[in-house]
Amino acid sequence: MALTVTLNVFSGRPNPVWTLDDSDSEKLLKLLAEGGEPTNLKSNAGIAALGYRGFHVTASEGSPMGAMSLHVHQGIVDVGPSEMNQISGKRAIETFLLDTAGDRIEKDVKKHVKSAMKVADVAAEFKDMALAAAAAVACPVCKAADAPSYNPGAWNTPTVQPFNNCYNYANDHATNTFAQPGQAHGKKATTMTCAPVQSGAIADGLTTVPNFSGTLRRGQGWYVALVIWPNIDYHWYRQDNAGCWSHKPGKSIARNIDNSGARIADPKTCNRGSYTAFCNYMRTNRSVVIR
Amino acid sequence: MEYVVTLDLLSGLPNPQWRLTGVAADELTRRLNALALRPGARAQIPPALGYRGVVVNPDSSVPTGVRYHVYHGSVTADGGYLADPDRNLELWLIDSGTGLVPDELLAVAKCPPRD
Repeated sequence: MALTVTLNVFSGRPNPVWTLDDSDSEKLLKLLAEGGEPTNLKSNAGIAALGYRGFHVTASEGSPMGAMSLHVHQGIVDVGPSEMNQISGKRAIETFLLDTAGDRIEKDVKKHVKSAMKVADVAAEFKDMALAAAAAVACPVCKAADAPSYNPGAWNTPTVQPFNNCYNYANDHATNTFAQPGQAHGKKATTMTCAPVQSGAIADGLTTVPNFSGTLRRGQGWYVALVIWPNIDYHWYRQDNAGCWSHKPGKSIARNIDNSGARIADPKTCNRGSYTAFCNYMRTNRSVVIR
Repeated sequence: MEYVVTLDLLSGLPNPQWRLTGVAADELTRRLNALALRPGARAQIPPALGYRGVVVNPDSSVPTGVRYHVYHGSVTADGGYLADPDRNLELWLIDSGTGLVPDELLAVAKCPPRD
């Protein structure tokens, strides 16, 4: 799986570029899959800066994990231009990538990078602020025994993230088909209002419920919620076993915060941006078929 | 050079996408080359739901092509930031989808940022 690493450090000279072997590629993907805290921060490298400006990791479209392009700098993993970034604690990914360079970069360059990594750490600077915002919401009790755990790392990987949407995530089923409600049963909605999208989901095996306070025993599934951006799009949330809700907007990363950056105690009342119509809470389970 | 432009704003449905070729692609190249650097800047981060910006990918035949994300006055390219004063590039890109993307979606993308 050819992952190419570029160390952004030079100005006049071409930057050092090397390819990770299979073992190091797997280690890197594992580090990425562990998934750091989502953050609104971007590193402030700037292409005008001189000296160490981070690592760029790429894979071609034909590689086993599909196209990939991410930038790591100042403890922040920039997973995509339009995505929430992730914090790489203690600069674990940058340190790992620097180690993989081996003798391909001069000792002085390596020393410079190590020294630069000790100085500016945007992630550490703002992490406490992000955690404080996240801690401000009290999560309700989850009454569903089958509710999935919040594990964004499993979704925010190059082989999964771009091919699965909110419906995949809510049903905890990565089909890699950007699943549509009802598509597996010939009932795909053609208008973006609550009724047809909900009907599609029901055809897939979901059921409507009045709230998420009823106890669901093992085998009875977990709670999800459908919202609509009137006439434009739909969106799903799911309740995780910790009680708060999480979601995966389109191709972007799975996350547990709303449009205000707050944890989601109830999708009916959280900041949903343009998805102003709350349709229903629903129940899904492992036997639901989506495509 | 050709480009694929994606309007990033949907969740359940696939995002609208279109190609820029010929004169339009040349004009985009000119506009991208004219962007000024913003050293040390932080890009505005889009919300989880709703308009999240315009993504410009060079045609896949250009392996070294830079991917641009344009959102509310700033442009991210390979971890660096460029300025897009008055959203000139962004609005031009959105307009390039006229006739290809429902007007309602283009109007949402054009909405000024809420401060």
